[in-house]
Amino acid sequence: MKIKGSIRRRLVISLVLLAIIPLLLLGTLLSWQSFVIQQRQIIELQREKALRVLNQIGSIIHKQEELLSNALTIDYYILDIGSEKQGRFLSQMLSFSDESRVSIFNEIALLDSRGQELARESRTSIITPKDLRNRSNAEEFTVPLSKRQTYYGPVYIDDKTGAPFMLMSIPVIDTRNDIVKGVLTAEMRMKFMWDIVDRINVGESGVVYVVDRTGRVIVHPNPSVVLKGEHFDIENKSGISTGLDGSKAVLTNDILSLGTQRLHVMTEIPLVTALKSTYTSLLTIAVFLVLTLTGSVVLGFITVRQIIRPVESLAETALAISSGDIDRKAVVIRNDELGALSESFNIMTSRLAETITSLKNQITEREKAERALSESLREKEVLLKEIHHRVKNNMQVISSLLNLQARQISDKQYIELFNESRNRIASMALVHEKLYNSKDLTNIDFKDYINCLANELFSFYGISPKKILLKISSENIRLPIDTAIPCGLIINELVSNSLKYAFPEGKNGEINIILDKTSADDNDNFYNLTVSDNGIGIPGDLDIRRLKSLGLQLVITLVEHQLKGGMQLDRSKGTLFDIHFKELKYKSRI
Amino acid sequence: MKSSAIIFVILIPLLILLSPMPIYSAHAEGKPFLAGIIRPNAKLQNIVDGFKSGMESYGFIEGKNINYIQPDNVTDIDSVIQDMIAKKVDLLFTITGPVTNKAKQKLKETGIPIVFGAVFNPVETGIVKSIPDPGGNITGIQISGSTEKAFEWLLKAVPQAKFIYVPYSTDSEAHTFIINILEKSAEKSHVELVTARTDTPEELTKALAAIPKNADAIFVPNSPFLISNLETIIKVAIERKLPTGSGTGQYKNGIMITYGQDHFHSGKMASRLAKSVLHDKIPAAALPIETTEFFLGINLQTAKSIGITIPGSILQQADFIVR
Repeated sequence: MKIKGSIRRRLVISLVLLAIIPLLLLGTLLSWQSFVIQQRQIIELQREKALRVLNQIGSIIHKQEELLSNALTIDYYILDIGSEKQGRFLSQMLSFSDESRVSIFNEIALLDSRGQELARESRTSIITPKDLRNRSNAEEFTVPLSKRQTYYGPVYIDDKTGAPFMLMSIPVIDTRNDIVKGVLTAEMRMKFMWDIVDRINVGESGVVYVVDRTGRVIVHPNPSVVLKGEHFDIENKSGISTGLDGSKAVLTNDILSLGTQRLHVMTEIPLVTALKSTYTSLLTIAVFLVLTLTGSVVLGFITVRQIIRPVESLAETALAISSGDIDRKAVVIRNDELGALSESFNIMTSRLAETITSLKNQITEREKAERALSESLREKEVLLKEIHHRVKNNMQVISSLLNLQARQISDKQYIELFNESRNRIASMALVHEKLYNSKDLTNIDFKDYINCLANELFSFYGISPKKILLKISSENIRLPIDTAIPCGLIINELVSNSLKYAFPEGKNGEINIILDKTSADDNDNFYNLTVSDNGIGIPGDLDIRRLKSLGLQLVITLVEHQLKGGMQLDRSKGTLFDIHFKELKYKSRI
Repeated sequence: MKSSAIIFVILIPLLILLSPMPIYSAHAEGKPFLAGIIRPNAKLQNIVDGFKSGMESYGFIEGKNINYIQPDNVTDIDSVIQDMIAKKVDLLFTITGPVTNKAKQKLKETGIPIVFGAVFNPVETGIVKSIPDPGGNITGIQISGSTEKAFEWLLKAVPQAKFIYVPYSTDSEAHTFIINILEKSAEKSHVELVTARTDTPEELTKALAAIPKNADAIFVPNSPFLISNLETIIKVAIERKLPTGSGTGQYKNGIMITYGQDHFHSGKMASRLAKSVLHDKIPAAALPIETTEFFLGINLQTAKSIGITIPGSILQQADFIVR
């Protein structure tokens, strides 16, 4: 027997389906979630730093604005105090500094309602009245004058120093009548932004920089980026996007609004650096997964092996046993269920072996008995044949004795009686002869018997078959001895009568013997025997039942008493005896 | 799944919190940086102090991730620079134009970046190509730009002054530039200027002795030589009851009114450039020259010595006052 399926393969597939695939799915999901969370956290951390920068810049600028406004609140009448005092006022404002004692303003000017500078003070230059100019068309004048609000100019980089500056103007409102009487404009030093972005660490290689609304980088830890006048497309720059140098980076973009100005505080970390910890986490998860998977696979295979090995051993043992090696034993190496199974299997095979041995013995005994029986049967058959043979021989001896006796008789009538008796004995002996020559000792082929019997009678009476034609018609009918002997005697008598009396003076003729099986039921077979000749026939006035002839009396007796049948005589065309009877059942005589 | 997300959410901020504060590691191999410092005059030590203080604020801790070499004796500048090269400094911090110029020449092929702490006019003196684009491997803090305003402050303190005496030295190529500014400022302010070249102590003594009688004040231009001999100038000024002004920021050393750099602050500003070079790996040439902050300093002791009363409006605007 060949094993087509494999438990090992099924178990391995089950292991893969139940352990490895879920583990892989779980690992992938975990990695992806870790990636998403870490990316979000990186952006949040960057944003936090960007907001810190934004707040610091915004706070300083608003403080500067506040300084200007406060000064004007105190000296709202500044436009009326004359240029000398105005100069001193501006000079005092120019001396304002931040916590680091760094000057806030680079230059400051006071403009009247027509945009004419009334006074101007510079941090580095001497301003004389000749230097005063009209700024009526400048935004720093028109915006605060018309809108009564603070004006913030764009941040610009001084070509000579590379330092950033921004103009801020506030309207000078006469609080007595709420009229804008002029504008105070200051050139603010924005270099503080350099320090702010420089002191913010955004990861190992990240930067914070500031971009104006046109996209020009105005503050960057690397001032050459600013001085080169690099522009950065700030649209949709948040999350993973293209950085300043064109490579992929994690960006945040927070906006500081100053009037119409927009300062974009950007943080940028190269993607590779930003996701370094993410990649490390992913790597850790991957390593963990690989180790777990390896462990699962090894454990799985060990388990499978532990389960499969005894099963395979059992299967191998079972195959060997099925191939005939009944003495093969399963190896019992464990104390678990499989061990118990192996033990039970071995017990089972032992019992099977015992049963087989027992069966073999029984078969041998039976074969011996059969052989003895067969021998006995054969002996009995031989014996039966021998009996039939001896009966036949005895009958022949009787016939011969009658023949010898008949030779001493001169009266033909008596001789004939002896001969008739001899023929009757011969017909019976023929039955025994047929029986012992037959394989079947209970039945004889009756057609063959009729043929032999008729031929012997033809021969006995010295009648050539050419003169009297013998026609035998019969199916293949086998009759038991109890039926065959009376039937044989009947045929003997009737054929003998026809041969003796139907064709006087050497007349030609025809004798017909027909034996048919007419019907059969569950228990009995019914036959019809017709013996006819086309001879002179039996005279019509002759009652056959009253004849003293032993032959016909014997026929009547055998038909009616022994065979329990019936007989009709038809004298219309020669002589025709139509006899019907049923097969006699064997009756145990012992 | 949810719990692992929570673990990540808790763990990551925790790890960030527990991560050490940024102390800039030196080289990739973990060796501390080595910075050379050349300070030609003890009066300029404040610049060095400011520089070191600034470096510390950026995470460069002396002895930990940065070491400094600062020889006391810098008489032979060339050999000092040569020594710095031999010791393979990662950065050279220089003070004054002449020292920086020499360092630039010596370090040309070495790849060692130079950050200068106080050079009057690095463009005029040929140290750098331009302020926004210094070129070479050098950057730093320039201290020029305050002369004109310093001159104005002197005149504000002494409004009656009409005749200003200006000694100058040719120790720096910037002297022509300075005199030029002063002349323009005098013209703007309608005052007269008398200049005197003093390249040696003897010449200085001689020039101070020859200050015209009608001189109303002395303006001390930026010059290493004059600063080294400042005591002499101050002594004569007090003797002659002449108010002194300068764009050097030397109010502590006796000048009555100054508008110029504060050494400590200049040094601190320079530290940011050094940090950009050492930590951010930005080439020095990519860092534009920065101009120092200018501070108004008043020495009331000197003012009192020469019998000058500084107006309250000026005192209000002063950043530093020596009383």
